[in-house]
Amino acid sequence: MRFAKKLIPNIYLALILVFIYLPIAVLIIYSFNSLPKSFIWGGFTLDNYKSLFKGSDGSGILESLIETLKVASIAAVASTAFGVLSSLGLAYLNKKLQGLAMTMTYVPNVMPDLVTGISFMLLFSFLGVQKSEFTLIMSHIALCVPFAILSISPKIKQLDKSLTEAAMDLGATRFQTLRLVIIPEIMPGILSSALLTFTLSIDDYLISNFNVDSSIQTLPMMIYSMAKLGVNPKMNALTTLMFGAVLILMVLSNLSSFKKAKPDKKK
Amino acid sequence: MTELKARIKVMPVHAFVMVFAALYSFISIFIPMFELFVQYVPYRTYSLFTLLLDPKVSKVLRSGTVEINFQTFAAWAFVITIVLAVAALTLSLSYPFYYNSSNKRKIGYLSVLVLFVGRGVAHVVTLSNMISEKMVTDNGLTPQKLYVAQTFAGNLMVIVLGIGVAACLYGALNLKMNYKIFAYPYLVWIVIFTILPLILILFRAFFKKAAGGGYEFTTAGFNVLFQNKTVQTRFYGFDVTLQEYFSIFLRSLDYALWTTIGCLFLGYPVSYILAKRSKAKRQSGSRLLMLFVLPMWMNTMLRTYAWRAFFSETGVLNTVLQQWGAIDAPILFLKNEMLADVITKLVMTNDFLPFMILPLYSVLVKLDDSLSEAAYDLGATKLQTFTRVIFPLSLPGVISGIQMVFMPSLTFYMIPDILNEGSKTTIGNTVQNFILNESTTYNQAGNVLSLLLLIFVLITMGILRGQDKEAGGGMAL
Repeated sequence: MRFAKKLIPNIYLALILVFIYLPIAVLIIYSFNSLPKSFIWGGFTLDNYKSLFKGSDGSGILESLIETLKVASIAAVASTAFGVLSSLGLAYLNKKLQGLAMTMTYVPNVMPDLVTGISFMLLFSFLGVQKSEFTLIMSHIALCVPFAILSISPKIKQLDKSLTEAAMDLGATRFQTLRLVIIPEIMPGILSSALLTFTLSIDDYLISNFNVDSSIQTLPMMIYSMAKLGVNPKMNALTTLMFGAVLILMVLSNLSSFKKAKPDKKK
Repeated sequence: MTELKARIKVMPVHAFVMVFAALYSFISIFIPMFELFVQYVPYRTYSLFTLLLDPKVSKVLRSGTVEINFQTFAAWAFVITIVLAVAALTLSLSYPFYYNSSNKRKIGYLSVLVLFVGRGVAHVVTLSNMISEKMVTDNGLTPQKLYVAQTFAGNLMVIVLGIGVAACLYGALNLKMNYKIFAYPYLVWIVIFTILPLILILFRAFFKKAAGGGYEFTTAGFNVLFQNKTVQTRFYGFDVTLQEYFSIFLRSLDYALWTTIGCLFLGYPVSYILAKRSKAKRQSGSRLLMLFVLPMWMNTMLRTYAWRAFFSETGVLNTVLQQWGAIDAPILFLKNEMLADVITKLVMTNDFLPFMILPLYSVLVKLDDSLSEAAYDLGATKLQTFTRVIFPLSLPGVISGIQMVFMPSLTFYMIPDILNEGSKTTIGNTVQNFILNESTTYNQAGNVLSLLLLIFVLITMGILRGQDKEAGGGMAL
């Protein structure tokens, strides 16, 4: 009986994991398919991977990847930096204005991406800015800023205000206090914000779709147009590699945290 | 001299930034100008910095087909630019001399600020006079694009001058500064990127450009949505006649509700088990959690496509079943109305599951075990403990989970689209098609629909948030 009690949760977790990883497994299997754009298995091949490293071949996958990574890194860095300063500023604002600002931060957070994308499109056309890479990057930053603030703000709230006061009493300038006291204290928030915004941007289809001209195609946009006509197995290969990279990063970060062996995480 | 050195030593960072910006703005006039003068060939001119800029513009400039109208080059603007830059430089460099007096400092900062701004304006004026209209129209460039991209130095200059202006402002305000100041740019940001777009949606939904200029009120878009046109659809095996867009909305709602329910029922036990483990053995639960959220980093549409490959006629499932001899002919999963519907909901559940597990876990893991123990001690059964103690306490997680699943799944049209090859229109497709349509009336209909969607979402959120004020606490990734 006790054995079964232990077993049932494990079986349940395993089943859910199978459910979650099934499409990923299928995707990885098809990345080795020798038949292009088909559900039929044509035999094992590594060509899809090899051709990825040969450089651009006219399919535009590599170009899209670079574009997507570029946009995502700019959006992540810019929105996180802006988020840190804004959350810091908000914490010192009077309560009423602060509450209002937080509500207005919360609204885009729950707004469907589709509506957000449309609203940015209307904004750019109102301001007379033509759709280009610039509008793409701006819209991604605008998408990410509320998320950055929502993940950094709680850390700033937890920050002991006497700490910054002490630093300034000891003669640190405001800039030094920010650099040496505040930022190290809220580092976990900054990291999770950077990770979240990067993921949001790299995976975004709806907002890019409304805010870019036809000369640029991000990876998700390319995938969506492919998904209708048949996905190039090279895309599968690329995603498999990216997934592998994330997996390795996760394992490494887990191992390092294991080594550190945090003695106490109680709060 | 030693006094000067001592003074420089105590100069704050932003004063150095100010000096740097002034120095840069000074140098940046001469290099491109010098090159323009030296290398001036009629109809063909470029500077060293042009080689470093945006390749597209650089190519156009170097191709020699571009005419830069050098004759109308504004000499006066050039002279003013130089004078302003010299003044800004001198003032910034002499900073150590007025460092001591707070009043002098304020005047110093403000005058450098004025000079910087003037320098920037003069820069734009100078450049704008150098470029002929023909050049712009011939090459499909917008003037703004060209000015900014004119030279690499020009690009940098805008940034450096901006930083210089910020440093001056900081200096002038720092005499009585607070971190509060960082909030103001964000308040402006909110107005531009949150409030203004929402107003624009509202405005565009009900106003259109009038023939004679200006705007006029119209309900054309509204009428498109609520026109009296019915369609036949099958809904859970029943044939029903519904208004066209209402049936689409109903279908989206159907998908979103089942996705949310599926995620909640599959995700809650996962979070519960993981949280329990996490408490029993530190870390093991959170490490397992990583496994559950990892798929978030894999593109959704590709995963959906993989599901299509899995269920398709020649796909994995049919191949395996045929190999085993379980079936003779392949089953057309995605062509069968009922099956396709179930599969679509299943795939959506699969996609959104991590977004439910995360907030639930983060609430459940913080739950105090002594509460449920106390419930047992007081004679509650396991079921009672769960329904009366654990579940109510995990409500914030449930709510933020629902919020993270229900809202996006309502408009996330890509999954039904890919799985059913476009035969199942949801509200997301409809809005997108309206907005990208050429006709203004349909654009307006799109705006009305986004507006309705937004109102629906905000009301739902309001109700959910009303249930629990603490919702959103489990948002952290």
